[in-house]
Amino acid sequence: MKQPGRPSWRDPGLLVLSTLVEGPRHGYSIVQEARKQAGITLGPGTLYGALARLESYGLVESLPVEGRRRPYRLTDKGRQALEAQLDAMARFLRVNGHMEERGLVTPLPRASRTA
Amino acid sequence: MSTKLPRRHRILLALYPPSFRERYGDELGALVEDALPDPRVALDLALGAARAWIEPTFGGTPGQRQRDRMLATILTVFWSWSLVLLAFAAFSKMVDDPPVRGLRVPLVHAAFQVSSASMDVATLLIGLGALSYWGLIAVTARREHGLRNLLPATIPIGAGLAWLVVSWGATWGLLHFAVGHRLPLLAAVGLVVLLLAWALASVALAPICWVSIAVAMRRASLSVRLLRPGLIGAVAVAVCLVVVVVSMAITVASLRGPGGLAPTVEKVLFGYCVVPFAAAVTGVGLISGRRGLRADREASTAPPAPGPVEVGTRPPSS
Repeated sequence: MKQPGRPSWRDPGLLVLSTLVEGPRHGYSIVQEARKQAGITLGPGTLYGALARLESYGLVESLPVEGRRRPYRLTDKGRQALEAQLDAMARFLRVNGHMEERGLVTPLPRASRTA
Repeated sequence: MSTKLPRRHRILLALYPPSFRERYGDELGALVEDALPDPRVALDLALGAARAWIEPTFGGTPGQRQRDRMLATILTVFWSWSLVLLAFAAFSKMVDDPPVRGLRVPLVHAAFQVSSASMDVATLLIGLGALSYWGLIAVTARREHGLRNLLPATIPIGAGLAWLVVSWGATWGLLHFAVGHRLPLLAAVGLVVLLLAWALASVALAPICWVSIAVAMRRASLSVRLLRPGLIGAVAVAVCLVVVVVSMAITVASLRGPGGLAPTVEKVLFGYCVVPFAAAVTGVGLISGRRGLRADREASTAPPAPGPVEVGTRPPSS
């Protein structure tokens, strides 16, 4: 279930948060990092929609503008939200791993994503 | 916005809500410039613009966000009211001009009266609010920016109303003259053009008013304190619209069958389209009202914002 102020798994906001872990980045740099981390190319509308939501939830904050680009960085709340979601994902993967070991599910072949 | 952008991208960026463009427009434009030429960029921008309208977010400081949210609620409820007013006019024409026989049944008549009274209350609240904010914008305009803030609200609405009056007057005059006379071809063509112009002006007036009022209120940068009564009024209007829609639905449902609405295409179309349309528009107003109230409550109860966080540090453990 979607929780306010916490990006869901399918929300590009989660990917945006993860690109900001190592330091502030502006839009273009976030797109490059997301491509490097997950092989996903974020479109400009998707990226700024996600940034606007994250900023309104207080999960990222903007830094002073540099030319026409404005860097963003994680807030404390953003870091906590990211860790909480990654923990939940890790738990899910562990449960899934147990189920695989016990033959309750069949692993799917790994697919490369280019969306 | 940069002129280096292709025209289609500039148009797509202009489709975003004003508050979004104000906050992210330059950065988004810069990123689109950097993006590889790809048709998916245009599609992504179009979907992003649609989502920004459906699920608006507001940037800037918490105070700015609260103010923008309140303003968005007031304007959305204003748009809802104007569309429900159109639906109500169609509804009144359907059941009361001439009155259908079933309207004499006390329960149906009461439902019709309730819808009519609620629409009047909503219209009165909108009128009071519009006058108050026009006055406030005028005061702010005199004190800070001269007449610039008032122009978007005054010129298009004034021009639209003037056009409406002139074209209506000319059409009425020609029609009055035409009765009992054989018009020359040129005059007949002129009459048709005038009638079309009048219809066009009537249709164009509503969106012109919506946009110009929104621009004027945004430019005035009214404070949260001044917007709060408007927010409360907007929620009251949204509640009135709910009463209007429910009463309309009861009336239309009760008028089916013998003595009610004749099953002509027009009546069926009105019966099945007007009420759902009004309900949908009212729903949008209610959702916006709820979001506005929630943002105002959260901003009023939130602790002061913490200072900037050092990147790379872990949050303090409690």
